[in-house]
Amino acid sequence: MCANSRKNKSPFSLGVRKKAFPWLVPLSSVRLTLVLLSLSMVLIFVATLEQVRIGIRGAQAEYFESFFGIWYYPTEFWGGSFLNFIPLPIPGGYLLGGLLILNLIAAFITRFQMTYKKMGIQIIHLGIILLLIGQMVTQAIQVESRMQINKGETSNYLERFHGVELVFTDITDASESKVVAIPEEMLEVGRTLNTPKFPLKVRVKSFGPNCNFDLKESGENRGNITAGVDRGVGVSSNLSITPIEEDFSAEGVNFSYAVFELLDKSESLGTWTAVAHPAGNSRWESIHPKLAGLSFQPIRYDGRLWGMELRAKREYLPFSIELLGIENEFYQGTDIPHNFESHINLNLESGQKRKALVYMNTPLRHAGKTFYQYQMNKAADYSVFQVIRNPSWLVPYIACILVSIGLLWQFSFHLISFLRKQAKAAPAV
Amino acid sequence: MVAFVACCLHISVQMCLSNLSPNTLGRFCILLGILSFFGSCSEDPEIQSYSITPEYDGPVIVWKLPDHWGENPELSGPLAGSFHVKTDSGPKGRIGVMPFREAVSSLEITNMFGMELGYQGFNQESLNQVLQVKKIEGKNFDWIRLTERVQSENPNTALLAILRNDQDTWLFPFIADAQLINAEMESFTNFLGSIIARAGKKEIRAVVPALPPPPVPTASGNPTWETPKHWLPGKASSMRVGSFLVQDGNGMELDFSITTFPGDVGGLLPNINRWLGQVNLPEVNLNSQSKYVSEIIIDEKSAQLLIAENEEKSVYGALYFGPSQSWFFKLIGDSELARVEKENFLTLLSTVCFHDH
Amino acid sequence: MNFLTKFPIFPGFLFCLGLYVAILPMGSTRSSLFDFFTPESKPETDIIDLEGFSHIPVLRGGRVKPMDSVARNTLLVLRNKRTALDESGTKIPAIEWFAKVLFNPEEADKLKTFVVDHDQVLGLLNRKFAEDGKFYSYNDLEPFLEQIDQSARESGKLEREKQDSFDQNIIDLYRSLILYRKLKHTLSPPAPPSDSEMIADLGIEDLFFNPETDPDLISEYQRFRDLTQAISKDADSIRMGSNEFAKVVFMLDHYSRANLWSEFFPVPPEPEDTKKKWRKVGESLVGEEPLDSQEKRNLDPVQFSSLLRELVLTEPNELKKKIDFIYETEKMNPSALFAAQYAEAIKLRREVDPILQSYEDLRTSFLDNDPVRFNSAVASIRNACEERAPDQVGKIIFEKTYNEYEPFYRSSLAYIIIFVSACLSWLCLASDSAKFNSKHATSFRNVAYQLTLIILLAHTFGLLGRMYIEGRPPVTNLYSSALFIGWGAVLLCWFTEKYLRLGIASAMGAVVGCGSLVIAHNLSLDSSLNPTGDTMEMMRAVLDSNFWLATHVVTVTIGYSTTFLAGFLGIAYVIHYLLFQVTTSPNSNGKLSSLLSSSRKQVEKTLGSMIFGITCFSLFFSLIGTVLGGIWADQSWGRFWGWDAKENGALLIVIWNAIILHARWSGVARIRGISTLAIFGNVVTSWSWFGTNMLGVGLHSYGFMDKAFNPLMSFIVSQVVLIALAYTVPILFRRPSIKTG
Repeated sequence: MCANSRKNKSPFSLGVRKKAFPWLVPLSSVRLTLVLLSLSMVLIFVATLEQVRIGIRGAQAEYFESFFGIWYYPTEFWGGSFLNFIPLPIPGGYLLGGLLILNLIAAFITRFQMTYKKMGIQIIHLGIILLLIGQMVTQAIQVESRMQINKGETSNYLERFHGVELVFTDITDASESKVVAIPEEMLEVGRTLNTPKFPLKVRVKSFGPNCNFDLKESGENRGNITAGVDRGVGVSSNLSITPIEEDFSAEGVNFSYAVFELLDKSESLGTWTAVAHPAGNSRWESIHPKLAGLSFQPIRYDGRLWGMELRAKREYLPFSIELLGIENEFYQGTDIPHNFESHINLNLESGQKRKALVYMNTPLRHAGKTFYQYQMNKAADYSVFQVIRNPSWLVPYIACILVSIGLLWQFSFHLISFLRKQAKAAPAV
Repeated sequence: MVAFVACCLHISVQMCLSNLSPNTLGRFCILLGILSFFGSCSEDPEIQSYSITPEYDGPVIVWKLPDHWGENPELSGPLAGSFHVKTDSGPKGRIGVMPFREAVSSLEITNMFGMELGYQGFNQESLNQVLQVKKIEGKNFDWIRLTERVQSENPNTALLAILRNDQDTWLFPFIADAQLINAEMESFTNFLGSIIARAGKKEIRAVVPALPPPPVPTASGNPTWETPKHWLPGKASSMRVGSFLVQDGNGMELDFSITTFPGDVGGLLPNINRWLGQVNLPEVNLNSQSKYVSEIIIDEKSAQLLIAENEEKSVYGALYFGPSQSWFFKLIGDSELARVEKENFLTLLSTVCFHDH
Repeated sequence: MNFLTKFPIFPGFLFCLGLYVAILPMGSTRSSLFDFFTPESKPETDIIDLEGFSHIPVLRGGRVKPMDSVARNTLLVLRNKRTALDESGTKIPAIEWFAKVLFNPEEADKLKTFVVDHDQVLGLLNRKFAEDGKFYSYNDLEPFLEQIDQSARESGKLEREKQDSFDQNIIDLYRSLILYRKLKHTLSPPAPPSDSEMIADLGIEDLFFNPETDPDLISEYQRFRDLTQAISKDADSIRMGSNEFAKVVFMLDHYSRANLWSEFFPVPPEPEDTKKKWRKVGESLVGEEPLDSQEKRNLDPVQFSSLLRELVLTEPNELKKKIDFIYETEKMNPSALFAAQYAEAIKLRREVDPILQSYEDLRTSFLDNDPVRFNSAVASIRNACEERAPDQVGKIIFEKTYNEYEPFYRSSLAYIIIFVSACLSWLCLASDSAKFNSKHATSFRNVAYQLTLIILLAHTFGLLGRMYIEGRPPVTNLYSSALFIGWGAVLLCWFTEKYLRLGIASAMGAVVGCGSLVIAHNLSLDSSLNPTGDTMEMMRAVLDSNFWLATHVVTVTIGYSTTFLAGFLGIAYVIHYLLFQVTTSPNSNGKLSSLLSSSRKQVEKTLGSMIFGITCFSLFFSLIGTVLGGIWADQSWGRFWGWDAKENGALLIVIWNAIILHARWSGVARIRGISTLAIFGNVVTSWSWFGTNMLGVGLHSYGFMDKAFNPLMSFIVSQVVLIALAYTVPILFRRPSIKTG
């Protein structure tokens, strides 16, 4: 793949391109590619090891969705006790991915020859650029949520897997409820939030992504975090909260909490605690009857009744899904699941109803979202869908096709010439 | 690995030395900047507001509080709201908001409060004498005023306002001395006028506080009894009509069972000898059985009580041989715990009812 | 090497040996390739027909398979072998052992069924490996059951990562004992405890099997049926406190418990069963328990008995609907669920299934050594299965023959012959006699080449056989991926050898082929990967897609296999290179060195192009396979890429192959560099094949495989050592006078 010495008069010839972008030449070097690829191997290897410690999500945030990650040699490994203290900088996914894209584009401009013989290579690399860009775009814009439905019930909203919101719902009117939702990014300690949609100001006193909680005996000290709480469930259950680190692992359950004060102009109406149950606030009742109120703490103001809760971020859909039934079969005499299947009714905006089946490897695609069978509980009769909105889902498919065509093209060239050579040399054997 | 790292280092050094000039480095940095924009772009958080079809299926009740009323911070029991009147001498009186799941008659409610105030109990007739219907802001309230039955200038008074809404009942009791109630009548009326009440689909926090229902004889003619609260349900088996497990924290256990058999199952002696064997005591005969066995009355019937204590294990039992069935009540297990639970066992026997008379 | 010139027949002999190993019966692998095409022979009438018995279909692990497979698979778990030993330690066929376990437990307890090869576990049993060997009978272990049970419980409390080898071995032994006991009781429920107070209270001793008066267990089943029929006619007696009812309940509980002590499902689907469920003996009598038996503690006796009475009073057809309705709507209510099961047992299950009678006949006639009765019972069971599950028993005979043919065992032996043959060809080249050596070398090379083709056919047949039996693409689990990696490498080697007849491709193919089959065998022994001993287990729902298994999994596995092959060719180059470096040093043998230097150019050129070509292949397959995996993930979970450990492993292989190719294209690495890079490719591939599973995270983790940790580490170290040698030896042995360029 060295530069071709033949002179070509076309304005798109290699020489012309090289002259036009001389500063791209060093960026297009194969050696740079080799270095970047080698570093990506280090990155991927380290990030895979780190999954044991911080889970897939943690490793993804630390290494793949960043420019640099710092790695400490694990103590469990051989010689770990000596090597552990050295912080090793590992180049992150955005850095390497971005540089690889640059490297490839530069190579396209200054190095690749547009000939039939090399066409395969260009198509392959085009595919790989697409794949890289597609993956980076996906990580930036893809939204993963879940939808849990009990059998016989209907749901019209999605819940995000991660991230909570503090919600005030005006339920005074029978015909519609008004929702005001404050995302967790805005729940900074000390910040006072107000919006014309909600008559009161919200002052954040404390917020954390995960906590241990405890119901204290009446009169017992609640601890610092909830000491100032004087209204709602935080008082009636005497709830004490100890912040802990967010658990990034796949099975991790995080109880986000918030302590906030409501203000009417400047007059305080009291301070509340809210804790989000990772499986939905309706589960609080089963943890302790005194905590049932965490799913709805009422506040009445100016003749309106508002319910307050901290819950997983929600997105309401213009359509709804009704769970008609579920099936969960195992191979006879084993614990190996054979089939998970949800029978649903899709209630469209137009009022039309459509029956559908969602099962393994066969999701439901509707309105730009895809519903995958995720979890199921046969005994409690509910089903959970993973719901994904990923506008760039088609990109990898196109990239895959491009790469395959390119590879086939190139290797057929090689194979044919190899076989020809062998056919000439064959009589000697 | 070593070879691999060496190779990488070699290549990168060579590349840097041979190719990079300051100019290219600058442009390179710009590109890097563009790239970092890529990584950092994400949605700006903001407060969202939108409307949804109502999801909350509990009852909804909203009011406007008169200025000089205060809210009691802690809601307890069946109350959906609880207030006091701010006076110079501190908070006084109690105003409550109580939702009921079903249509509850005014009679029941009146009797609930009447008892405390010394009334004998109302019937429909006597209730009608104290009950008015009052219309406030288009809503009809049952209006009942009860005054404590003592000689006093300023007796305790309960003013009950009852609002009916479809299948729901809302009670607004105002409990205070008579003077305060008179003084606050206008505020209370305004308060009731501001009420918006709507029934929930399910789950209402209050239900009529009622006594636990009396034990009902079961269809199959089984006896009933009352067990101490700390006795846990024990191993179930088809033979056992009742089965409980008693444990202390130190690993000691007792097994309590109630079993029944047709006929007399060999009579008294074989059965107590079987039980004695289970606690390693020697068998007894007709003459020596009195060592362990005495007579006891269970549900007005004559039965036999067995008290057999051994060093490690003990058994207490009662055997009742009925006309067609025999009933065995047996508590067996570690002696130390058994002695503690002996009283409970005997109490239980006294609560047994066979429901056959 | 002189003897070779005197015996020119030797290559031919090797060829015949290989052919024999590949096709014909030998030792305990009693079937030959021809047995697949000959119909089953008629049983002789004067001996017990174990052959026919081994063809009886049963359901275990979700799949209908011949009794023979169950016997072999359980032996694989118990003894790590697919054959059994008798009391004296002589090999006996699996099926003979199995018949004894099922029908004559007292005899079976004497057979050396269990493998115990861990020193400390042996210490627990008061045995020594050197004196007592590693195989023990149940009778040997029986005195120590309590200790084994206790130790296993202690070990089981530890987390998986904290268990040491003793913990794992004792748990394995405990599981083996449970499995063995389950096998013993599968066809005859365990006897009730003889000192039970309850039995005395109820007076039901007469119901149970009495060896003196009853011909077989059927009499007991029949008495139970009489009891249930009596109570279904007299529904009023269904209440707590009724003696009749208590008896029924006791027997029902007894048979339900027997289901727990049952390892496989011998009773084919009942004719009227729409779900086509196979059943255990207990299930055939009293139906399936709707919940764990422990849930019976939470029964409300009053609700249970009144509902049961109501159900028993309903008409059978109505009752079926009611039972289905209860199973559907009352999932959290044990009282209702058990009432439904009991109602089914009392009212709907009216007859003793005739197949139980046939199984009892098998047992009694086996004990009496009565071939006529035994063989007719075998025939009647097989007929019944064919009638009742015609679509499930079609592959039984094939599977039985396949079991006996053991294609992978054969292939692994034959690969050794190929390797020997290829090595001999190189030795010939180095021999003194100039006239014969090249001719012999050629004939040995040709033998290796032709044998590769033949063994490849046997290996392919093995894979095809599995595909036929399972109805799946070739790679379904870690075990079959090993089979397939070996197969793919050998196939490519055969093609390479076709064009470059040097013996190198044959030899390396044989090494990879044999190595992967040995790995596969060890994987089949791993209790965490293969708890039932059946390497053809069922696929979990998310993997249950033949299309993706056939595309993604197969392509990725080919990618693994070609990367390994490139790595082994790299090793071949490095060894050749090292030999050259060492022998051309001053004090070396002149003959070998001149031979090596004469062949050096050609070897360098051909190996270089082979490694390059194969790396191209592996990049192609691993890239396509990985992208296909992404698409599958997109289809099943909605994300193309999730940075799962196994996905990352595959990506590492792709990147590594890309590095090799780019390094060569850009001239950064030449032949030695390419070879060492390819060898490092072995490390990368073995990491993503096994290493990622050891992390125990992510979707693809089939099982935590700590047993493989040490072999994996030693493999990686050996590869790194080879790479290091390739760079250090030339420096150590460098001599100024010889030019190596």
